[in-house]
Amino acid sequence: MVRMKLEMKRAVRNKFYVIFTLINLLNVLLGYILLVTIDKVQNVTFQDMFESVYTVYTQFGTLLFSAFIIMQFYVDYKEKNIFFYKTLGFSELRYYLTKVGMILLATIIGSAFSSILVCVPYAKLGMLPVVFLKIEGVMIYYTLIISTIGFIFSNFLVAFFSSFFLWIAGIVVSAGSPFMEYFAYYDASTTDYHHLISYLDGKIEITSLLHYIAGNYVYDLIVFLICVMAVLCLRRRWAKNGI
Amino acid sequence: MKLTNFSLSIKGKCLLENVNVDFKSKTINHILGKNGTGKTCLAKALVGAMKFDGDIEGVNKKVCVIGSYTNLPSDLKVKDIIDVTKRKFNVTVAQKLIEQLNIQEISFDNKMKNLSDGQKQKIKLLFFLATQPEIVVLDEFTNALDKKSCFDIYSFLNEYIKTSNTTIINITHNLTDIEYLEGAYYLIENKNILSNMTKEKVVNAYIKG
Repeated sequence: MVRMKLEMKRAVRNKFYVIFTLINLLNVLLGYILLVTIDKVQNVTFQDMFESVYTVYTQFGTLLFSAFIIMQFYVDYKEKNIFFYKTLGFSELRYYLTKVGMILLATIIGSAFSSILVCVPYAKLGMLPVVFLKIEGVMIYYTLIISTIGFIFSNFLVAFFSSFFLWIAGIVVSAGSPFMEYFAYYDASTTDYHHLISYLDGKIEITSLLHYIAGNYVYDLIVFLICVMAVLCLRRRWAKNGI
Repeated sequence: MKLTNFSLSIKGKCLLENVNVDFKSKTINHILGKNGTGKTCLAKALVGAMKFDGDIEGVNKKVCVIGSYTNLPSDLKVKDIIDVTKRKFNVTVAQKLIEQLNIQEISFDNKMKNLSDGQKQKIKLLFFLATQPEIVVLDEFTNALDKKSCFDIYSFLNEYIKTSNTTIINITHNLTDIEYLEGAYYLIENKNILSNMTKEKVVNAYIKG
């Protein structure tokens, strides 16, 4: 608990939570601007707004969030703080999980703000949990993947472009076959995205959508387990990168 | 701490070869050596952060290294470091170190990145020494410090070595360290660590190369 508290203090002191929340709000703004300017929508409805904001999260998330997530690891490597963590009793995995925990708290705050901004202007408070769960599902995925890359690479540019490459490669691979969709699970070209659109168009019921949302979190859980295995396999890099 | 048949290489370059040396316990052991002789690699090997051949007797003991590559997060405030030090380690030891290092003179609301080099080193000493290590490796610890900070730290270390059960290994090329910190002297030369040297002998050998 002392360790998690320390990590939260760092995030408060370096204004990570503030910046992360502002990027989430920027996503909502971007969703609205794209609707009005590119799609030329005159009367923006709740459906339009939710779809557009969710698309911004799925399509631009890697670009918008990766730098800030990678920085949480890069700074420790650059400043050579790893021995400090080791002295406090952190193992490689505990360090990774604590960072991920700290970042996930930021994503929860950000997703909550975004959901409120999407729902409240349209008085759609009943949709708040759905909007929040969809956005947070995407954010958990980003946090896990980008944190793992940040943990592995001590060079900021290598980490940033690796996450960018992984994102593009995922889209290319998923386009090859429906079975490969898991490589770009949240992308706008995949089935998961179309389920949401079907719900917004009134083609499927909320119960079906909630079922698919549960699938999102199962997917995130599997990604989490894969990331943990990657961290354990590459744990020697932690000390090598930061001492 | 004792090195037996100790060899160290980095990227195929042999830095230390078949070294046998015994460091004196509860003493400040100064190791002098020129740049590139493997001083920092030796420090990293002593805390298990680098591969080596041979044996290090005492590596299982509580070893901590304080150098330019073991820092405290710059975005934390002094009070955060003090808080976590007191929570995780012995409060009495931490409080004593705060007094001995005159940390009360530093504003607790300052972030680490805003402190002077001397103040940063004092906070690092507080944090790492609060763990009550049996062996402390100081790697180029007084580099880039002003004279006053150096003398504050010399005075602290001279007192600390008398009152604790700690062995200090001071890896340095700062001859002022040798002048003001009494102890045992070693020289890294020709991939070996020469021991049983007097202060004058080690300084002369270091200067003349």
